[in-house]
Amino acid sequence: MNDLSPHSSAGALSRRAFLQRSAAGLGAIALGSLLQARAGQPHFAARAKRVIFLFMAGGPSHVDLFDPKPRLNELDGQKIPAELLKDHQQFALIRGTPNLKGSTRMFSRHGQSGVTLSDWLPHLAKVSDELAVIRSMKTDTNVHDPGVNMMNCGSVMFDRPTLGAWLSYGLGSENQDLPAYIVLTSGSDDGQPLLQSFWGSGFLESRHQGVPFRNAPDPVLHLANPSHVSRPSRREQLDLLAWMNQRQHDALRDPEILSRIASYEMAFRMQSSVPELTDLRQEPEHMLKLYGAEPGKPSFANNCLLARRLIEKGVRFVQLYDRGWDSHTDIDREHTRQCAAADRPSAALIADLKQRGLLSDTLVIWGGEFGRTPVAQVMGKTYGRDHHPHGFTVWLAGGGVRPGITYGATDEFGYHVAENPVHVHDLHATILHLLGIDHERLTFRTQGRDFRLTDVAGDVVKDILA
Amino acid sequence: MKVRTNKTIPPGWVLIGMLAMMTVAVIARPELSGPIQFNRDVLPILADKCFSCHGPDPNQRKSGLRLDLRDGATAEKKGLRAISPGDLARSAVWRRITTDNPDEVMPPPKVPKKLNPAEKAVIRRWIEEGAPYQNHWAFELPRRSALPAVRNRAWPKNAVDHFILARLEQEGLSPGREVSGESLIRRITLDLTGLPPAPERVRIFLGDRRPDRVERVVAELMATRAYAERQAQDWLDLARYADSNGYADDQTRDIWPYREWVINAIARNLPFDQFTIEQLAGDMLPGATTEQRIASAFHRNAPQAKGNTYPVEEYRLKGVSDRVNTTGTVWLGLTLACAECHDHKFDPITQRDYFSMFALFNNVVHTGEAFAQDGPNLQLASAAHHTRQRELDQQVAAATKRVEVRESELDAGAAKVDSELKRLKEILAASVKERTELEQSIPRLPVMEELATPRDTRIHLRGNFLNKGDAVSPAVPALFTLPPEQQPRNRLEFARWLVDGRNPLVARVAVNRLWQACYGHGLVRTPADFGRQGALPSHPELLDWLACELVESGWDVRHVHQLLVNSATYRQSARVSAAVEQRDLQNMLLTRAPRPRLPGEQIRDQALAVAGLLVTGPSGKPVFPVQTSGYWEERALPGKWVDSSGADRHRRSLYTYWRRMALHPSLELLDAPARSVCTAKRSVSNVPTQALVTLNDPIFVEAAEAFAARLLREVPSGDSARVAHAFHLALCRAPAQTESARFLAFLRQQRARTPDEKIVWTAVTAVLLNLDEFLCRP
Repeated sequence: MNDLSPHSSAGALSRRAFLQRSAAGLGAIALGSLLQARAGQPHFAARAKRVIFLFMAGGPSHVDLFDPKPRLNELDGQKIPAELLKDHQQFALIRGTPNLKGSTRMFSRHGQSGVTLSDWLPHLAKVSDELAVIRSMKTDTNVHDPGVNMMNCGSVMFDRPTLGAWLSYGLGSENQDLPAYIVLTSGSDDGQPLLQSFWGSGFLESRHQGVPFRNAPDPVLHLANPSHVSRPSRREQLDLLAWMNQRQHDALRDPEILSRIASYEMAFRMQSSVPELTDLRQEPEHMLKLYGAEPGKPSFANNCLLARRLIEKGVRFVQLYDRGWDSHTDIDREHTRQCAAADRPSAALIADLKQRGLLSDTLVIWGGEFGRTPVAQVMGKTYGRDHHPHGFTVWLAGGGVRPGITYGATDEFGYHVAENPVHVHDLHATILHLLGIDHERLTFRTQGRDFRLTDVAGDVVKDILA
Repeated sequence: MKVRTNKTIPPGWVLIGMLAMMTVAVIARPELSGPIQFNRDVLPILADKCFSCHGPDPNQRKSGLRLDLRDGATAEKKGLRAISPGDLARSAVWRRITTDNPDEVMPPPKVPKKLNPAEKAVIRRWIEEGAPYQNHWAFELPRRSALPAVRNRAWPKNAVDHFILARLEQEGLSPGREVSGESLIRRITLDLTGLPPAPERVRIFLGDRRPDRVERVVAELMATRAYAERQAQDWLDLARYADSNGYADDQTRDIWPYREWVINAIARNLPFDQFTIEQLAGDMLPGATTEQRIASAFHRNAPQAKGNTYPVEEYRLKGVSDRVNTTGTVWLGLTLACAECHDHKFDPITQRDYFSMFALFNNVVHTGEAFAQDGPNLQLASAAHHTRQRELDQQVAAATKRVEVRESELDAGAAKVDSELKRLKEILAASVKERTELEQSIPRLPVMEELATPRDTRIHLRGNFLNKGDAVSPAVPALFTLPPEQQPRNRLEFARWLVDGRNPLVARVAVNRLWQACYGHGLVRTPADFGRQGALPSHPELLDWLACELVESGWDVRHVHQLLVNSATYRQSARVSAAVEQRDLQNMLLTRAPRPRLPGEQIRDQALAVAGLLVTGPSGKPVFPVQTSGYWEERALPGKWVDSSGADRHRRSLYTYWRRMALHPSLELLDAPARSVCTAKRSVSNVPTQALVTLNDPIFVEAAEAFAARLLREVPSGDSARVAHAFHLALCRAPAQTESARFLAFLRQQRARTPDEKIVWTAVTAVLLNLDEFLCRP
């Protein structure tokens, strides 16, 4: 395995220097355990080697997509029962006591496993036998950004490392030419902003932060040379640069100089590898069709296809943000739009990974920062649903997850978790477990204590493991 | 709060790691052959492996046993003692850490922490030697010790060197040799001013044969505004200064006059005690001046969450916690934040302590609701503003009068079509518009302002503000053992207490950061944590000597900074000698100069300076250097980045608009912090996306082009002369003969590709602006 960081090609000095520092107890970390993880040998056998996280930013409505509630439909229009609101701070935007709102969608069971999905997800239905649908997710906040932080970092704070950064830190990268952690974005312009902290490395070294690929001719900032610099000329510049840097190293023997030489060489390789990789025109027509991708026209579909191309090259963690799920008003129109854009490519990704033999060791995660309320948020003639953290759905596929199962349940209203609760910390513990990492042993010492992705909680959800 | 200290472990070096561990034991604990020292040898083990269940936090304490106090550890319980001083056999701790029985062994198997044989050996010797405890070193007042004697009396330039050299001699090591004059002047100038020295300054320095040439140039540079700007940069990381509110809303705030205050305060070497008092409580000083009220904006730098989801109180309290935590990091080097929800698990800070300090910061005015939440603001109209305002008032009055007069002259029908009236009305409208714009352009600086009646403060049980516990009154943490009658009653008294010269932490924490700025790492390598989980000082006597020197000099920061920079230690070469490689890889003993990559701001500023583009001098409002277009829009962030034109395009990076949720990408990629929280040490990474910035970011492309144009202009002909000039500008040195030859060959290569000399020379300058030598501290 190789590390993205040029540290991997540095002289022995920095490594020993580091190890010495750890051993001296200065910012020491869980040395033995982490070392194993960093050496590409996780704590135990990994089922998943890489992750694609399809993040439905804004919060998809679980009661309209995954979690049918006949009783809710029956009681449509009635005041929400008071007992549901016990120990409950308040809704995000709804004020007063709202009415229950049933779903307008038709649900049916699919495949051999009988996983239930609504008619908003006809394509996903075709791969339903691959899904492990968790209907009993819980999170700690009903506000978007803390909610995204929670889902990414196990904390509502803005200064913690994200899941991808933890994986880069714990497992390193598996390729020479690309970052370990890449972020792709798509979706409606009226969605919530995407903040730097969503792919941040928090207190981990900044080299572990995600690299957002842009929907622009330059997918990575400043990837293209300026117009007056030809590629052969750039090569000659870098040769001269490396020659000078090597001289500097000979004089000072600082291993960081070798790292810098390696950084520049990788940047040069990225200049050809990234445009090639992001050029979806290289995909055959039937593949574009499968995903619904159109080269040059940014979309979630393009990003799903790109995600597959990235993990094929050994990228450890790809996170796709699909914006626009925050349907406070006219959920029928907005969720129709979102599903139309997300359903086909999500399903295509599963099918494509499967036929390439990649699904078995690639973990796919699909979900938002929370679900949506089973009560209506009425806005004029239309209605929508508010943010709902107390019970919602996330599905997983591949990477050692038991396929074709539905796990956990909400109550008859889809409001609270009624059975087998899965807190975000539990989801994180499970994700790390699938990657061969004991979530209690992947730690980083800062501020005088050992921090974890799972804070001081988290249980692996054993029942969803294959 | 954020400290980035750890480095990750590159793969495949386990064995070497184990070997290195043995080496380090020798270096970090040279006196291990002597008696065990509790703080140095035992406490780190207990704190890391035992205190989470047997430490200060009563809620987590198992079996009622606490090992952080000697009384607790040696108390007899049911005929057993956890530690029986001098008697290993009767010490339950020894039995429990050495047993194979999984039901008995400590730490228990379910805890991921284990004791290794070396650690057990330390515990054993400690118990055998009578299990002596020491108070935590950082909670004892610093004591100034005599300068240690050294054998090599020719080497030391000042007190700093005595401590460093004495330790080296103890280890049988010699200091590194002095760096070249070219590197030294470049190092000093970059460190002090954040900018490279001009070739002329280098020439003068090299020609200066006086023995105090370093002291002279240091004093000269410290008198410049550039010095204040560079030092302000580090303070603004601590102050979490940014031009936006933070959180998703992340709107602009007019807090830049505070940034100017910091620069001016450093420029006039405001003593650190006053610097502290004015920032923590300038608003409360009797007869507070405008400047002192501006200083109080320090704690209005806290991010302000806004919205309509939660009660206003919750949004307000976020800021109060941030103020407590930041104060803890910046002045006390303590991780107070841990005690917001529970008693601190490692340090003697209770939740009551936390909220007693919270009470001091809980009385700031908070206004408005939802997205209009705000605090006190100070309207900062300049003299020019006032003058123009008066002029416009008069203009508006006069124009109004003329309109009225003309209207009175006309009947209603004629007034509709009268061209003269129309003209007068336009004049009036223009004046009114200008007056409105002027009012809007007056910065409204967020500042601190105390409520007339302080709020009641209660402990928030488990950190939940809805779950209130005991009422508390303002007080400093109990570990400082301040009698009740001396407890500060408000922020101002608290600030004065911090810097009354009797606090064990404040001066140490401050000089440690200065050390970090000069030597890459602090003497305590966890600059934000001087508690039991923090690193031990590598040179405790030196740290204390400097802390005493800071206080006794009247908190003269510049004086201490001079000591650090004028020392022989500072002048060492960065070369890692073979002898040292085996003995002091981490440079704990200061056997060489560190050579970290420069901060992002300095990398850009240096490129602009070398290119002759940099614009110096005050900026006032933040500026908007070229940024990839659509960068905010791609992330659906509100607002629009419009590239500055004119001088603002090339101002020092210190003045760049600092947006917490989307920092200028080139600064972000070069490890500048978002400043959503107090940052005591930046991380320094070394990744390909940074190479793309310095190669291809339009800012750097422009710099390379301007640098090339400068070469063509300043050296009319001769490739060798031009190359030499380029080296002098970028690196402050002449090229070696082989370097010159290699560059000339490169020129031939490039000329084969293009006839355009500008492009040819831009290829040369692009290489220089990306050299490791250029990007790193010399």
